[in-house]
Amino acid sequence: MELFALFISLLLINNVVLSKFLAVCPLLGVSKNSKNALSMGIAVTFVIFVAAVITWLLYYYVLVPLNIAYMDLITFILVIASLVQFVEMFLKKTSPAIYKAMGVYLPLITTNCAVLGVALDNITAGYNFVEAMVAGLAVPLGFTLVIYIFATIRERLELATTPEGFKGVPIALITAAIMACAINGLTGLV
Amino acid sequence: MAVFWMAILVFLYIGLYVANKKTPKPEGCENLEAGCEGCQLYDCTHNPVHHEEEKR
Amino acid sequence: MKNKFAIFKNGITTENPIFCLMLGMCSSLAITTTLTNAIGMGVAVTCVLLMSNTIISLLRKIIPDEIRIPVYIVIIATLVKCVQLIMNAFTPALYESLGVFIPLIVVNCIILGRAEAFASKNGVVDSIFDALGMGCGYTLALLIISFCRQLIGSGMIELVNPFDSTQIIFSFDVLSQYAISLFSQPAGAFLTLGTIIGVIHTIGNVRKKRAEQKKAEVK
Repeated sequence: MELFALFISLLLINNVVLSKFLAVCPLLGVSKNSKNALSMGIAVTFVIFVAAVITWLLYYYVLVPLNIAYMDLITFILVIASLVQFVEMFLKKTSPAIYKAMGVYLPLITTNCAVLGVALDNITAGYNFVEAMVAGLAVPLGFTLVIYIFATIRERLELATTPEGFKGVPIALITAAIMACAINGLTGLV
Repeated sequence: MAVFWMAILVFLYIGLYVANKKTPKPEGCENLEAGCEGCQLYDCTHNPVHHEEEKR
Repeated sequence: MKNKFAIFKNGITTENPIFCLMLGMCSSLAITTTLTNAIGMGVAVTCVLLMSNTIISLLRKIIPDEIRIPVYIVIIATLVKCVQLIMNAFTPALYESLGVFIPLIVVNCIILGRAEAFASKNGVVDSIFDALGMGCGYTLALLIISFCRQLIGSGMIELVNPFDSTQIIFSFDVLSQYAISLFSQPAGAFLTLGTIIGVIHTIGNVRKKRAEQKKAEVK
């Protein structure tokens, strides 16, 4: 039951984009088209899940026993970057269909704040393995939800009349503000 | 010890990066775009910054 | 010398990282709740930017062109870890309140962006000035955002000594009866940043139109 509460809290209440402010750059960059946004979300989900698992295992079974826990940042970023390269290469060779659908977004995820944020948060919050897996699943699903809704709203914003200086990023940020208010209302759900 | 571990990771990453760059894209995927003109993540290989240099 | 100053000024006004280039938004939204956080983050990013620009500019002829991005990431990650450890030692309160955003300087778009766009193509002195300019522009932008948010959100403007968190440098209680606590929360962050960028773009557009009108009149 606690795992379910953790899942819901990371998915909605402490949503990674609207509450923790990670992954805002891709949110503003890739959300012009809702279909692209969904593909991006799926790619991010896969990468973050695998990265969360691998980084947790590396931290507790390699870095801590060898007494080099201070290397966590360098280890995580290099492992995440290598993972992205490996997954992209793997998809290119084995499944062109999947690569066509979502492989394009894989390089974007290397410097995505959310991946590194999830890896580091799992360590600072002291999750065990199952909790780290749940976090690795809930966080990117929350990101996918938000980016999809955001993309559909932005598609309609293109047709609305906005003041000249506010077109593009400013009005998108104000939209995100309203969405953040909505998410804020869910506090106290679990 | 730490230097050793870091060296392993760095070589792994650079090796995978070069191997990835060398694998060709499958057919039909030559001109996929991610629709990310406004993006500022410079280490994404789709960023237009990299295309200018390939043209040179 | 004039050219160097132009590079420095560029980072603050024309190519301000947050307001014009739209880089580094993650951290600018999250930590601008107080002025102390803003200054701490700004100084940390400026230090990392300065060191990374210098190192990458020194090594730009040695790094093979194909693998430059991975090499940049490794250099920046090492520098950020050093800065993180120093901050943990000397400014523990600031380290606590900035939290996970200090390690996230590694993936901050500003540092990699300037390394790629400027330091890999220009000399060391130019890169140092660019780093200082961008860092100052970033800090200035953070100060503006956190000033608005702290003023409206809690009604007080307060600056705490980062090295000794019990010492308050100044504290003005201006509007605390009318404070809107929304601005201390995530929604307020998006709202403040969006409004400020919108206002700056509007002013930029108005200036452009006036310049074009003047040109038309001269003709």
